[in-house]
Amino acid sequence: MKNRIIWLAMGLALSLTVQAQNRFFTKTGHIDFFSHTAVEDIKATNDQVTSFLDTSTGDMVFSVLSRSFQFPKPLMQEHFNENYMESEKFPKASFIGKISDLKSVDFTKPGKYQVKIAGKLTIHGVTKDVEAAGELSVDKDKIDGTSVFSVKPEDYDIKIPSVVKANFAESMKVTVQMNYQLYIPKK
Amino acid sequence: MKKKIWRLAGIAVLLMIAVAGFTYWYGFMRKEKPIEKMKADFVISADSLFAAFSVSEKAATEKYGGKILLLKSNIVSVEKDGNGNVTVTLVDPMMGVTCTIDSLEAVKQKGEIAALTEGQSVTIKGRCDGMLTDVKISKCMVVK
Repeated sequence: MKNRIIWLAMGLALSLTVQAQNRFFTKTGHIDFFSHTAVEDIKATNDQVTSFLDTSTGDMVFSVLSRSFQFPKPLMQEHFNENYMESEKFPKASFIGKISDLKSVDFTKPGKYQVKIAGKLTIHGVTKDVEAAGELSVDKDKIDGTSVFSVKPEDYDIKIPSVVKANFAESMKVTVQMNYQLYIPKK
Repeated sequence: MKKKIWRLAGIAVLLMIAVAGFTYWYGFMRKEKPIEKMKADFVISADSLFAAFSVSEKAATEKYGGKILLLKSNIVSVEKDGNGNVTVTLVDPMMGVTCTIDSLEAVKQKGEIAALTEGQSVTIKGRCDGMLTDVKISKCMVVK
């Protein structure tokens, strides 16, 4: 519910800034996570990430549905949703934060910029402060953003039974790829 | 008596092999059922689906979350991303219903997808994942 309010607030803010050239969004962002162990590799992808970026303030919001992660094996997906993420109880994960070194980016000049991102990451109902490095590729009316960072399931109270613990790396490598487009509200 | 024990032992071994085989298939070899072979749990318009989530996201998630839907609506937009996934947006660009046809399905349905145009009526089958600003439908295919 809290997330829904945030999204509605963002949507309202966007709708009120018809003239603004600083609001970007995507509904088809990509996030994947990868775990490598001697037993097996586990990778899941989600191509339905919704995210907003305000280039004037550096504010960033991401939200994903746990059910939208796709696994190569149906059993992995079932375990992920039912046992680990408890998707019925915690259907969403989100990040609310900002580009902390916004001055290093010239959004009027196409190019690639290295940035630092900091904020609060909520997974499985647990919120933690996180920091990550990222890269923004600025182009006319669109911005691509990428970042790679690590997440430890135990930090988010995700319990992995000891019988399958050897199948999971202690840290998951998370890759984020956003394809922001300038938000142009309907007239 | 001895013959009976051997027979029981044989049946037990066969059962164990069958259980092990099923476990291996279920865990490692089982493929996801293709969307075209899945029966729709609900037939609903995209407008009605979005309205249901707007009224009560919790109730709508409980009812439609993880279920296969047959959605009817007019197309707002059709976009293809760099990974080959095709997104068909229904109702509204931001606060509507977003249907994702994954890259493998998009190859299979190349002709049907090429024929989609903005404003056209479409029927799409897919799995409801829940709501962000929009209702997300994944594993989609164009029915007609």
